[in-house]
Order: sequence, then C-alpha cells, then structure tokens
Amino acid sequence: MFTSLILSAAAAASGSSVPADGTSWTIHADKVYTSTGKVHESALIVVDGGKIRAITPGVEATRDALKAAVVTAGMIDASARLNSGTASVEQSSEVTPLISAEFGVDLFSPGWGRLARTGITSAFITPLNQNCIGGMGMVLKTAGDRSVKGRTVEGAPMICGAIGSQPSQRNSSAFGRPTSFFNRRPTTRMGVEWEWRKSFFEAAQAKEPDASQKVLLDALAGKVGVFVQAWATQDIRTAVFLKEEMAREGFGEMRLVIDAGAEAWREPAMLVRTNTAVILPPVPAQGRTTDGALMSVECARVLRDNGISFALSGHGGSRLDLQAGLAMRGGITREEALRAVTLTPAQLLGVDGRVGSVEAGKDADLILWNGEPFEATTRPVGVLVGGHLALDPR
Amino acid sequence: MLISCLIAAAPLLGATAADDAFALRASHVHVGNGQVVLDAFVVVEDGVVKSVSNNAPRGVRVVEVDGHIAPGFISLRETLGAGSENAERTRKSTPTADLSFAFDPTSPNWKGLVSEGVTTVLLPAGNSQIAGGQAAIVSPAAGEVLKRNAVVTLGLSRAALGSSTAPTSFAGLYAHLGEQFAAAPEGSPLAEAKAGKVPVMMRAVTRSEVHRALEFAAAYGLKGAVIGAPEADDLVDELKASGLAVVFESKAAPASSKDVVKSALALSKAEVPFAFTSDAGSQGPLGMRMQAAACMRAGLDAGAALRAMTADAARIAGVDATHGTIATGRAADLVVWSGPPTDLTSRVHSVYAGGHLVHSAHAHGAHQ
Repeated sequence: MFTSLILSAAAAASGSSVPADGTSWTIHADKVYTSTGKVHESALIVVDGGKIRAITPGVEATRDALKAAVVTAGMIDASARLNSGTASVEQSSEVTPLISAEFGVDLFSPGWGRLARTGITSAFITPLNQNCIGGMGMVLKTAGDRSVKGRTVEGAPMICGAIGSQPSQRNSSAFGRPTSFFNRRPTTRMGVEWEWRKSFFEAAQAKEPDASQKVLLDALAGKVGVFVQAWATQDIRTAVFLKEEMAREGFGEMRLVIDAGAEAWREPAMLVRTNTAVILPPVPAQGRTTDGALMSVECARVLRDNGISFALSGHGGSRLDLQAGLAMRGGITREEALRAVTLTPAQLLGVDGRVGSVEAGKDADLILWNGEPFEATTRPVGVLVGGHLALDPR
Repeated sequence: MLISCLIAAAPLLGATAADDAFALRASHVHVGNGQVVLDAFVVVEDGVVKSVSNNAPRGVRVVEVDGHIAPGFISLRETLGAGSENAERTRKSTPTADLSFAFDPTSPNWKGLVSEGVTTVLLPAGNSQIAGGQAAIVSPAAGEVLKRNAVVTLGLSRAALGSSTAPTSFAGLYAHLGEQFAAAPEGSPLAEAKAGKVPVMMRAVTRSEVHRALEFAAAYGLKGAVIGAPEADDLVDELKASGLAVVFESKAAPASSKDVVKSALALSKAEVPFAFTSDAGSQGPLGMRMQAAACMRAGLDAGAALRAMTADAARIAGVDATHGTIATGRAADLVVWSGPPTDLTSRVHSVYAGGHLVHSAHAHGAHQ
C-alpha cells in the first residue's frame, strides 16, 4: 500500500500529468503550517482521491507540482450565514429544533464560489436567526458535489438559535384582532429568554417527550451542541445563565457555543467558568456591531489570554483571512490565528476527523498562499476542496 | 371515454356521412408530432378527426382553406378565466380541491386566447398554494371541461411560503407536504400521485428549488413535470434522470426569457420533453407563441417548437390520447393559419374546437 503510494507520487513527479478525475496532485510549499503546531519546510504534499496521502518535508519541488510559498488547511467559517434568508427559518413557532438548515441551503448561490475562492473550504450553515431555537445546523463543503448530501461533512449535531433582539424583531402585540402569528410573544428579550427556558424545562419534565423535546433533551445531555447567537454582554449572560440554571436543576450540562460573541471580551470569567466556546463575528469598521455590541481587534487576544476556545468567522461577507489578520493585529500569533480559522472551528463543529489540519488521511482541503498567511499583501493563489481545484494556482 | 362512444356510434349513422361531417383541405397539415402532410384532407366527423390523407373523401363537404392546418395549441397554465378563484388562501393545502370549479366558461377573456390558436388550457392552482388542488383541462372555446382532476399541482417555490402564515421556510414546506402525502387516504389525489397514476406539476423556479423538487419527486415516486425552472439548462442531467418534463413559464422580461431560450435548447438536445404556459393575463394572448419563437430564433427547430405547444404539452397533461395531434380519433381542435403556425408572421384564419368553427378572422374582421 505504502509503496504504491510512493510509486504514484513518483509517477506524478516523472512528468505523467494529472489523472482524469482531477483530484490527484502533488503540491510543493516552502512552508506548510499544519494547524497542529508543526511547520514543515520545503515540503511535498501528495493528494490523491480527494485526501492528503503524504507530506514529505525537506525535498525539492517536482516539475509537475503545484507550487506555493505557504500551504495551510482550508479555512472553516463557523458562522458563514449563507442560508437562503427567511426561507431557512420556520417562524410559525419560535422553537423549532426539528428544522434542518438543509432546506435553507441554496447550493446554486454564487456565495459558495466566493467562499471557496477566498480559501474557505467548509462552512457551518444555520437557519436564520429569527427564531429562539431555529433548528439544526450543518457543515458543508463550499465546492464539489451538487447535492446537499454530497457536500455535507458529518459533524457533531448542533441546535442553533439566537438570544438578543432578532427573535423578537417581527413580533408585535395585536391591535384589534390578531392577524398573524407575529402577534405574539416574544416581543422583548425577556420573552426570548422565557421561550428558551420554558422549552428546556418542558422537555426535561415531559413524561413522554415529543420529537422536538427529544432533541432538547439530547442538548441537555451534551449530545447535541447548543449554538447561540448572542452579540451583546446581556445576551451572552442570558445564554450562560441558562446553561448554569439547567445544570443547577439537574437537567444536564449543555455544550454551549456562543456565536457572534462580539462582547465576549467584557466578562471572560463567566465563559471560563462554564467552559463556553466563542465564535467571533467580523470586526466592525466602527466599533459597534449588531445590538450595539462593542468589539475591537483585541477581542481574540482577550479570549486567548483567558484560555477560552474561540474561532473567527466572516458571516459570508467578510474575507476570513482578513479577520485572521485583524486578530493578529490585536495581539495573537499567526499560529493562533490559523488555528482559529481551521482546527478550532473543526473541533467545535465535530468535524476535525476530516478537516481542519494538514495531516495524512485528512480531506485535501488546502490553501496555497503567495506569502505568509494573513498578511495584508498575501492572498490565496490556489484552493483545493476535496482535492478539486476551486482556485487554480497555475 | 366520450370520444370512444362517439366513434362506436358512428357506424349507426349509415353509409352516408353524418350531417356535421366535413373535410378541410390545406397545402400543409402539421400533425403536431413533427410530421407535415402536404396537400392533405382532414376529415372531421362528430367533432373528431376521422382521417388525414392525400385522397379526397367521398360524400363529404370539402372546405378549401388557404394555408396551414395545425392542432390547436395547448397551454399548460392559463388562469385567465379563473380570476383569483384558483387559490384557496385560507389554507396552504387543499389537495382535493377541483380546479374545474374555478373555470368560468363564459369569461370574455378567453376569446383573445382562442383567436391566437390556443384551444386547450390547463388550469392549475395558484402559485401561493403548496398542494392547492387538482388541475383541470378545459377548452376555452367550447366552454367545456375536458378532464377533471387531471394533474396534481404542487407549489414548491418561495412563492408558496407564507410571510405571516405557516410554513415560512422550505423546511416547513417539505415537512408539511410530507405530512400531506403520508396522511393521504387511498384513492385521494396525493395517493394517486404517489402511485404514479396521476401526474404532478411541481412549481419550482430557482435551481435550488428545482433540485429539491426532483429529490422530493424521486422520494415519493412522482411522475409529471416541473413548472418554472428557467435555468433548466444547468440541470439537464438531473432532469433527464428524473424522467420529469419541464413547463416553461412564458415571460416577456428579457432576462428570464433568455434563460428559458437557452434551457429549451438544452432540453431539446437532451430529449427532455418540455412545454410552455400562455399566462395571457400578464403576457397577452400571444405570449406562448412569442416564447416559442424566441427559442426558434436561438436555434430550436420549428418542429420541436410546435411539439412543445401541441403533442408534448398533451403528453405532459396526460391528454395525448385525445389532444395535441391531428390524427384519427383525436378531437378536432384545428387551427387554420395563413402560414407555418410557429412563424410569427402567420395569422390565424379560423379555429375549430371539437369540430365546431369557434373563431373566424373573416367573421370578426380581425387581422385582415
């Protein structure tokens, strides 16, 4: 087996060109950042059948190899927000754990190609943030197969929701007769919090839990992650307090991930205390983000200093490599920034068995950079998704 | 059924032809399946085509027409005569609703459509509905319902999502539809669709919507067509594999019309059957013919364009045994054109529906 791999690598090296399926390559890089802390110098990466087969440091480039200054793993956007808007969230109820993000995905949206070309090779997709608990998220490759099934990377199941102004945005009290289901609770943050707590209490106390409640019970047992959008301090508090309350009640220990935690830097102690991970939103141009939450480039450094697990995200509109660069400007190292856009999101989403680092056996999701990653003057010149060229470096 | 009765009854009338028998003689008879018979006689008896041949029939009044005879066009969506009666908006799904009751046979709107050669129309449920009911096939000229419960219409596009009524999401839509199919009792429309006995017409517009519709059709064993799909050219392989046909919505808007043109060519090449809607309410009575002409301008051959408006449309609607071609036993829905029927410079001289002259340009003094 191993010899045959070497032989096929040799065949590629000797000048016989690319196999027909277009998923077998040799790539040479001056430096390979693996995301696991290792750096390989002058390394040859053999890609075959969509997987990384071998990494050999300290060798010269072969004639046919794709060449790059630096190779890293493809980036993973844990909050890509590439759902099809309101059609992705079932607003006839404020708690819909059974809804899958699958139906809110439009694989034909040009956004996918844009993500892939900028080096994002996997993205976490959630229903839109208009429900308290919107439903199940999913990790999809940004290029490749045309079916959702073929693009899915099986990971840890996550129910996704929001705490803040969004879930109550469209609701209002009825004047006269109620005319739509938007004439109802919640219209406030108090109502949003109440819906969350009520759902979990009812699930935990149900004699015969229904299908939705079973999902919530799995969340209480930590088998299903709870991915909560909460930008401002008051909303991050609400999420953390909910987790603590559930534990106090003896319902279980939720695995909480705060999405878009712009103000996570303000009270890191509660995140440390509850072992809560954070996905940071894109750094705003003028300090304030959604819900008036204040965020600067230093947010990532504060989380690092407190030992909080964090990932960066681009929300589909902002280049993730620039976010990593901004986080470096705030004081984290290149290696830390790289981990925050590769291995850490992979671990949070439970897909690190397949993606998130450059190691033999992992999916060939790779970025070929023309210089040190995340520098202002550096860009991805080549991108592979599952061995397929999403951006051709040649 | 009705037609076979008429045919069986014919011999009782004796050796001489029935009083209402006549023949049309024309330089070109477009059969509808791509075939053209030159200098032919179309013999009509009891509202049905008795024969198409080059030999003059005996004992039958012959009407010489100056031009081309083609089957009446079939539009696979026309809601002109329905007003807003084709969508029961108090709920998203009314799968047993019978669209024939939304048909207003005396609506003055039909006249324009018939005068442009459209003799058969499929009346589906509105786009806002998910399982809005069973489409009816009607003859606007005769004012008759030709077939009730002909096609199960399903709305799988964003238009079927509510903004303040459930479902608001595609996930909710498919959950709802799955429940509807699961709960359908034996013999009900959705059960018949699942059994492949009644065709479906699924409205899906974006590629993503079409993709999902195809997956749903495969999961439930549905046969029939997707209506919409302007970008079908990018889904040819999937459509071909699905065995479903495509109904293109005639659009005047240049951008989407361009998509349809490309898609029609791609489907024609891949031999995926397709047809058009007329949507005269927004496109005017000429809409369907204009759309076909736009496809021809880009390279679709005239035979394929005519098929899309006649034989293929009839097959998609499940009425090909009685409509869509000029052949023995088919309803005598005939249009006499001044030239080739797909040529935009051709005018309609006269229209026969069920063997009756229902429109004559001379009588109306139109287009002269």
